[in-house]
Amino acid sequence: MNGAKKRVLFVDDEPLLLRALQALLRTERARWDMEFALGADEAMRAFTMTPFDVVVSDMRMPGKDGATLLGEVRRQQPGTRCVLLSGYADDALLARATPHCDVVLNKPCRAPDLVKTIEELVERGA
Amino acid sequence: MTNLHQELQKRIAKANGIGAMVITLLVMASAWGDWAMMATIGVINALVIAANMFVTFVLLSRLSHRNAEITRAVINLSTGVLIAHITHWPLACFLFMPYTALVFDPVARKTTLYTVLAVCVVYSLGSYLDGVPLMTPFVFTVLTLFCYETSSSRHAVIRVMLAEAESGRDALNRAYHSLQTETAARERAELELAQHHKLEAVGRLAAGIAHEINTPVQFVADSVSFIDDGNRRLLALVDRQSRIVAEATSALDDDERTRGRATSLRVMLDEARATADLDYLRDELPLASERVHEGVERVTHIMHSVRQFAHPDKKESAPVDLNESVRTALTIAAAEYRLVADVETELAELPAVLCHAGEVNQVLLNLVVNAAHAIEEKQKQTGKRGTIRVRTRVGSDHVAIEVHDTGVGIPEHLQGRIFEAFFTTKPVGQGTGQSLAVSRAVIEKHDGRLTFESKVGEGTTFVIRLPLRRAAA
Repeated sequence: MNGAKKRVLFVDDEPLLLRALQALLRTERARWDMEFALGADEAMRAFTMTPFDVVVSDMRMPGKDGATLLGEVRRQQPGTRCVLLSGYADDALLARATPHCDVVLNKPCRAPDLVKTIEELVERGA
Repeated sequence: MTNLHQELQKRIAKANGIGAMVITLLVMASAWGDWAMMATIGVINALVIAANMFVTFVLLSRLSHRNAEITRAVINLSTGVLIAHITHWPLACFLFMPYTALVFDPVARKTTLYTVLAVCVVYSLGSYLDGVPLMTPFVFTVLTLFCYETSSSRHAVIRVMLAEAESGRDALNRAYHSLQTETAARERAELELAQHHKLEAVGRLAAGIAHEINTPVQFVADSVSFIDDGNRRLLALVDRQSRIVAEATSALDDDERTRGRATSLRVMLDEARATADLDYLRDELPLASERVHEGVERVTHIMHSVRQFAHPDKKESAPVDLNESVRTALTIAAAEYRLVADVETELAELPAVLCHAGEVNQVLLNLVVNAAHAIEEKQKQTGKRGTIRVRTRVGSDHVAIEVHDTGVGIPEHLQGRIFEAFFTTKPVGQGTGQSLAVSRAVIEKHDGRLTFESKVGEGTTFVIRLPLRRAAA
């Protein structure tokens, strides 16, 4: 357990996307402690065990959607930084999610943008 | 209606005929015993009846109604006076005068009145000259005027009733026609609404598909980034290993016994590199992942355009960058024109215009697709590529978007019809499914105008004008 490492949780309902992210962000493992959860329920289980500094979640997922998940995360741990990844153009849904997230990123987003976003949030949270 | 009319006319003619006959018989009876007189009266009356018939059936169709009536009045008057003179004045007066007054058809009321008065005066004068007491013509005149007034008033009443019935019938006809027009308009509106809903549903579907594609696109891009990074690191590893091998083999060179081993190791390494085509991989792998990124970028752009275009969830007007709308429509319609036309854009700096983006985009798409089809049609004849030129410009009070094509043009006889509902020259399944009538309605709903100019063989330019006064500040 490295206390200085920031903990980042990635949530998506697409396993291939999670695997790709995991591989891509492996270079960041020295500074971030990353976990990848398949869906909102798995994310909540991981979060309850050990809280995270940053949660990056997809918007549309079966069952509980990203907005709901981030709302629950914020209730448990108000200091958590939240990123919503969205490919969905529905403004009403986004508006509902906005109070619970710090940044909304459009899907698809390029890896450097995602890394930079997380970096900034981690620094702000520190 | 006409049958009944003819039936009634016949009845009047019959009554008149019977009346004339009864009068004739009565006058003849008054001369009972004087057989020569009776014969004379019979002949005169027969002639008068024939003259009347002639006037009614022949002259009436040639002369004006008024002149025919006057002619008849003169004939009857002369006969009446003649018969009165040769028989008895009171008898002739009683029989002829009221009868004459009844038979008049008061179409020209004034003429008829004068004629009746003339008849009265002539009879009175005639009887006076023949020495008949004045009481007789006086009573006859009163009776005649009474007959005349009653009959002409009845006519007037019937005429008024007829006019009322006719105006009622006209009102009913007008109501029926406006009902028909309204029904047709409603049917058209309903069909157009259905069409609109269909387009909306397609837009929603497209936006949903665009969203679904984003996830695979995301992990394809992420995976390629990873592969790219992995390649770089593997190549760096290969390079380091090569240097290590070089160092190791050069150490073997120092000793004469191992020098041959070193040479064969170098040959093996070169062979292994050649087999793997290492230099090519070093050059091409980064380019390959660059291509994937470029492809992903394009897919992203197309999907973004689809989502932008459909705007399935935006119902109200909002400030819109129409240049962005043009670019979006050109991206979406690329499949329609890429093979047949080049696109030129000339986009002026535009203020945001308040409009319903989804609807205006649909119109733009429609115009671009039509332009592509017009060019495709011409290409079949000439084999040459065409040009679609889209220009935007700002006027004093409006923003204009011009969609010009170098296609076949619209034949003059169709130019007046292209904005008619459901007018199309395209087979089913081609085009965007939106008629130009709907396009125009959409633009007019925004207080704008959709116009065009076209020349056969040269091309067509459609111009959308949207008012600037509604532009957002």
